[in-house]
Amino acid sequence: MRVTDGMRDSAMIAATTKSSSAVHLAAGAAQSGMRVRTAADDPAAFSRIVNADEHARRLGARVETLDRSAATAGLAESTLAQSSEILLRIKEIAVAMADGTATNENRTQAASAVAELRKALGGLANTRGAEGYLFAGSRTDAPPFDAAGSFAGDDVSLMIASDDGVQLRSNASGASAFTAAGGRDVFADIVALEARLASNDPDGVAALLDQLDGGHAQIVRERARVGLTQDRMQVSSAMAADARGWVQQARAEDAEVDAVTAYTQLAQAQSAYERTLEVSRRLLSALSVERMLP
Amino acid sequence: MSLRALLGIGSDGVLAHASAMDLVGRNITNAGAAGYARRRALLEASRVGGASAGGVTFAGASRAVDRFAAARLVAETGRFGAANARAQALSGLDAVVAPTSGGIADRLGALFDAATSLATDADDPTARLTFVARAQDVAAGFRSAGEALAVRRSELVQRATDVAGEVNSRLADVAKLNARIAEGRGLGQDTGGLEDSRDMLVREIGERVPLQTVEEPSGALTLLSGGTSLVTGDRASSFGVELDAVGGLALTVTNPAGGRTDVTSRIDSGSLAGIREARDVDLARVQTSLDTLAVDVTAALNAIHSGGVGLDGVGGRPLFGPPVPGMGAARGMQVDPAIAADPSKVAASQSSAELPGGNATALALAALRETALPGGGTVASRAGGVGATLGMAMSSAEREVTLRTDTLTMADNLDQQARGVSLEEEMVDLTRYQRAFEASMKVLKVADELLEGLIREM
Repeated sequence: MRVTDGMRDSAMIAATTKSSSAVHLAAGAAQSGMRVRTAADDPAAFSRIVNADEHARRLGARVETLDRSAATAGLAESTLAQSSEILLRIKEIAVAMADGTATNENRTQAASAVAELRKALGGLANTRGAEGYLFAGSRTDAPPFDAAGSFAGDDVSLMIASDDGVQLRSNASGASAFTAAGGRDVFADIVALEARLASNDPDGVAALLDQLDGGHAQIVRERARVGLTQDRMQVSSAMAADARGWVQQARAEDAEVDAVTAYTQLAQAQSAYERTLEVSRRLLSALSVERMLP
Repeated sequence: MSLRALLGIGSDGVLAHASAMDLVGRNITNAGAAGYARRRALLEASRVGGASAGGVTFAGASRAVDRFAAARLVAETGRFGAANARAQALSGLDAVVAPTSGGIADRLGALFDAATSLATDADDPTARLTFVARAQDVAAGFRSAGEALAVRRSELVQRATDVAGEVNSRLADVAKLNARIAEGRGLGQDTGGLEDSRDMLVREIGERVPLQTVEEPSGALTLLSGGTSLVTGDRASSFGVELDAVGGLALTVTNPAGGRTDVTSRIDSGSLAGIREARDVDLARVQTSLDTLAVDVTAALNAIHSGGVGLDGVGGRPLFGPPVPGMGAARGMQVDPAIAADPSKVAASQSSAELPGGNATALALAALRETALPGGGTVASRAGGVGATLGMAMSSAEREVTLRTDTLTMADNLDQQARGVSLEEEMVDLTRYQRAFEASMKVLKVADELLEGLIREM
């Protein structure tokens, strides 16, 4: 084959350009630690990375929502625990005042104490969390119970996603805990107790004991449900956080380059570039016109 | 043989080898000149009346050109031109249409996050404001990607027009050179320099449009592209670029008589072909995929949103309004102006009875990220698909450039084997002609001494 100077020149330029380009690419990967920096680098991996990013984001949002709702459920659960204790205290008063040994004066004082406890219970039933009134259903912008204990909220279930396609109720039910929808109208029973204590009616007070028990039981039931929900939220949140970690790890395997591999490739590219320059230098030196002249 | 003849032989040798050394000098000085074809000295035995006169004459210079290699070089230049133009036409678009972060998929993800947040506190003004802002981000992302594609496609029309102009100017130059070469050859002049210039022009035209060449006996070169004549003798046709009925690039050739031929389907190499492929195939595919995604996302979100009610108890409102008229679905995407102006109109609740805390609609909006869109695939997979479509086109174009660079190098080497200058060869030739020149001088000197001796003896 006849080799001309133009062929040698273009071969040297092509080899140098290729080597230089390889150094540039290897340096970019080593600097950034990224294997896929644009869609053109690896279109299939790019598509997987976009999906992984969305999956991780979705799981992150789920963790945030579950944690937030779990905190609200925790507040509802402790509020219901306090409500349960108030009901127990009211029942203790009722049991004591149903006894024939209590005096009229004792029952009048007990009526006042029960009224105070009812007010405290009303305050608990109107507890406000970060997202509005805890026991108001969907009417989160207004107190669900008035001074008389009448319910102005609803029993709408506010759902959250705990997994793909799985939802659970995030709000406590004020209706189930405190109103006749749960079995007993707790506030009406307490008001009736107050009236029978004020009228010094030990038999009437005794007749209310089962109803007070029923009210206490429905608050405990709702507390248990809310507690269980909170537990499920915490478990789901932990699972979502773990899944997010796995997704991010898979994404990193797709998008990132191993540091040792990156530095090795950079060293190889640099070495090839230096060899190319040395070969070019020798070729140019050997082809010097001065050396050929007699 | 007479002494006079010996003087003639010596004189011919000096003149012929001086001319040959002149050619070697030209070869050496033009070794690096683009398009230069090395010259070879044609030395012939000098004749008088058909019989050898014993001397040597310089019969001219021949250009060392292999027509097959030259044609192959033009063809490979065209293929490289197409690949390179396509790669350049697509370059940089992924940063806008499919960035690795902050792209449409990320923006849609942020919108779904905002819907999830809204579902946990449906009457929170901040959550509503955030949701509207994220919806506007989504619309802006689609608009920005759609606009980038539209602008690039528009720029490519201009680029194609510029390339056609470059081709036309070179076609006119080839026609002029054809005339000068034919005239020069008729007068017996050396037209090698003109032919070098014409070969360079042919290669430059071939880089832009597919080209076949036919050399006429007069020395003129006929240029054809896709079976249509571009240059015949001293007459040149011209390329034109326009848009067809569906907005695609239409390429035409207008001959000197004004007749116009549509050659769009026949322009399959050269930068015009690369520009057309990038614009009307690659970018059109990405744009369709982006617009379809915009239509599907809009339809899916609107169907859920219009099924719910805002804090004012009014339902039936879409989240995204109809696209701006005259633009594609992506480029014209916008949040419904009423919702953009008043976030309380965002529908989070499924009925007015559940206001203000009802979150079923917000929850359904957030759940859309997990469900398949009308056209198939989740939002993330479809958005990733748009980027992958562009990425595949870009990586395919870049691979094609690498391949065509190699095949062009091979074709160039083949052409250079015939046409190129080798300094080693020229040095050998220079020495050879120098020695021959010196020998001829010696012949002259001997003849001169003989004549001088003869005259002295007489």
